[in-house]
Amino acid sequence: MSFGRELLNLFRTTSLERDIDDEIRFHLEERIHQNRAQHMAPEEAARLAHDQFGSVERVKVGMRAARVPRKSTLAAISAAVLVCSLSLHQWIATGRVYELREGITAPVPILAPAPHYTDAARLAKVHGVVRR
Amino acid sequence: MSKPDKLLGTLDLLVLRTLAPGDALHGCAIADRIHDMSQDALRVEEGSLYPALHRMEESSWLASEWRASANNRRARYYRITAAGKRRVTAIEREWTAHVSAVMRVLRLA
Repeated sequence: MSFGRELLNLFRTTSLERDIDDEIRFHLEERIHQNRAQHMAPEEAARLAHDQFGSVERVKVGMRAARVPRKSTLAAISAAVLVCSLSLHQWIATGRVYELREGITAPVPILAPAPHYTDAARLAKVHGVVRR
Repeated sequence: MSKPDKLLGTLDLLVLRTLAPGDALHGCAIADRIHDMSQDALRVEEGSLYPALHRMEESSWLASEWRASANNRRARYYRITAAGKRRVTAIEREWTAHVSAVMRVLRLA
């Protein structure tokens, strides 16, 4: 299973489940139709179709299992989400520090990264201008 | 190769070979065609067929699409891919080697 397909499957579990139901329903209806064409009574045609197919739940389990992403894929996705969360957290925190340092609240977006005021002298100068 | 692997390979081989001419078939028709082609000798267990079809699609050996069946009902049709054709060639080679080995033993026994 390719990584892209596994990733896709994670986000379409509902449609996968619907597809599985539709496919099994079609199969059973088709078999019943074939059995009816051989002059079977409706109940007998349905019973035979279900007997030949076996346990629907067992088949569904097998079909779902074929679509489940590998553990290594899930681990890679979890690691990527963790890294993104940490990066975003750091970005937001930096923005808040800048906001406090400048003493300005309204026009500064909270999620903006800090500007490059890195040296202490420049920071003091900017701070002084704002206070005056 | 262990026995379960070989059995799994059998189903894959039958399905891929059935679809190899390029026809797109739904699961029901695939089971019927295997039954017909084997002159009623083989009947694929229907409950095992669908998980196998999904597994082979996830392996990119098959591709599927939903379309209307002959009875105008919505059905999932499977067709073989280029990777599937390569796979069927590989499995056929394995099977031929396996059958030849068994035949050699049978002739000598």
